Amino acid sequence: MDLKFENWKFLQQRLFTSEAHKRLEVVFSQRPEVELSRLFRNHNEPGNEVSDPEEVSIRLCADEWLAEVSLLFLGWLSGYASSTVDTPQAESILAILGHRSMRPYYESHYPVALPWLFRQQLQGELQIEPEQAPGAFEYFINLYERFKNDRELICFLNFLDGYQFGRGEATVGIETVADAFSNPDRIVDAIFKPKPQATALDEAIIGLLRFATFSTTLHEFLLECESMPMLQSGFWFFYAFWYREFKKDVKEVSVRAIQRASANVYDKGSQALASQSEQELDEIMTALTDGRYSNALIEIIPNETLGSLSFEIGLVSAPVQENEWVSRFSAYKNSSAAE
Amino acid sequence: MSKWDQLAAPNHWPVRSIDEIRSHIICSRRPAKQCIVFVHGFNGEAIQTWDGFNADALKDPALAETDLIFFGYDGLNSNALAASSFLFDLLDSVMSDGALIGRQSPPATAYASCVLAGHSLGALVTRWALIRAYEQKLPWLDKIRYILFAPAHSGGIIVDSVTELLGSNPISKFLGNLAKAKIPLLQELRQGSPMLKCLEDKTKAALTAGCTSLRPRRVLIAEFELIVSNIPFPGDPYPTAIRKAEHTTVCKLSQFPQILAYVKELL
Repeated sequence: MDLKFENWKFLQQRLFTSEAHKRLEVVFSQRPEVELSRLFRNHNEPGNEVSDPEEVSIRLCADEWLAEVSLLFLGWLSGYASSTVDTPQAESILAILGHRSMRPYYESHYPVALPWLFRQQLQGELQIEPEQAPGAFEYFINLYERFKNDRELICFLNFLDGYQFGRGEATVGIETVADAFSNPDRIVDAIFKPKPQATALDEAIIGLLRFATFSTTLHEFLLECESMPMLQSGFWFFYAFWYREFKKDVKEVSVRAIQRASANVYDKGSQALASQSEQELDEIMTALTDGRYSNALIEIIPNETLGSLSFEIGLVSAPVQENEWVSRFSAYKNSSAAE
Repeated sequence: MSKWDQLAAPNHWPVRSIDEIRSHIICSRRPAKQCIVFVHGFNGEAIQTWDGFNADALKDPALAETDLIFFGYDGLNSNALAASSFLFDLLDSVMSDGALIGRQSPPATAYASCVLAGHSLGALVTRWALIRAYEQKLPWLDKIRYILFAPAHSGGIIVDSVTELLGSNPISKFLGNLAKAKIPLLQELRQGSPMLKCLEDKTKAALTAGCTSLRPRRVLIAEFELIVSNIPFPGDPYPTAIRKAEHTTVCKLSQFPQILAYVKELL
């Protein structure tokens, strides 16, 4: 039995049987292009807000789908699974991933690196060799499944992205979440409040704790992948959006929360623990946000890529283009180098 | 050679979440003959509570034809009976058509046997599910082999440390210290509570009637137990203590590799 091929079949089946894929296939096959472009617009631009429940739901499907195709790419990059290139499934994936209404969604509006690389690979624009670390991929997929549908974590991430609830002085935003940590009793209240009574603030408080657990686990895992820098980079890029693309600085918010809490500690034992915890969290968040893990993958991708072959007056030309992926994500690397 | 060079699970597919029931499943590549259902405790996480069973254990050839199901529920705000109702539905499904777990490759079939493992509050959740199966005279009860880790069925859950119960990260480690003793004892698990008394009476009645599936084959306890009472439940075997283990670590294969043997002896 070819285990890599079997693993690939499992991952592609996982993608193709997902509700997200089924829904997107219908959306892309039935809606006109102008409608699709509108659907996958940048909600941060004036007049582009997204509030229609159906639009929200389809865009959430798109996010889930992009995560699943990223797993297919990481499965190959880690040597867990064989390649999707030149398989019948590649065409079905490209029908969505390569669609000109979809590409701006993950390449420009909300840049996520792995689907973009996967598209380049499927279109023959990317030539890199995979690592041989199938066990690492198995660990990673455990981590992904553990946190993927965590309601409180998602609530916290939404706050980081600028969500606010209420109006005027009653407005609850990410600042309120960080401030809540000044009062440890408030945290305990949030944890033990029955779910139906929990407010967005309660959920975000728990979400911040979950985010710290997630970040600690991811950090420890990435350290264990040190001997495979390209794959380590690939795993980090899967979650890079959380650490680099939100409106609020995730490191600053997390560290501020723990500082608020430590400011309310008076006994010596707790003060020592507070100082140690603060330092530990700072180290973890620095490692995950300063771009160090982006370097390997950015360095290995050629700065230039072959464009589509065009046939003109009997001549075949293959114009060389700047690799936009490298241009876009070099910003991550530069910030790391600057520090 | 890197620790990642090899598949951690040569005989299993990667973990998959079953969102509708907050649970996770690791399916064997070959048709599974049996399954292990893991049930976490107070504020546990479906998989994390059993850390190591989702990786290290899968290298063992003895588990090659075994599916691992990590049952999840709200172990913080829910109650034992509500959770046991969800667990009962899961057990009833996996021991009949398997529809609830949506096993895709190979397609779902009924398991010949099932090891049911409960940790802490999970002992109450599992016991109530089994009592119900007994009272409803369900045929699959005879196929259950039962094992408990640091069970809370004799009362306890002295929640005086959020640190220990809220997972490991720098913020909770520190907050846990601050919030000590601010969390009440779980009423449901107070020693001698009506919930525990009722469970005890029903179990005694079932055991007297000859139902052996309700008796755990083994009860594992932590050497350093500060959370629950270790008084044996009526009819249970004498417990096996795990050296250096604590309440939350006694079920972690990643820290105590010897516990795999206790699960395997039930397969």
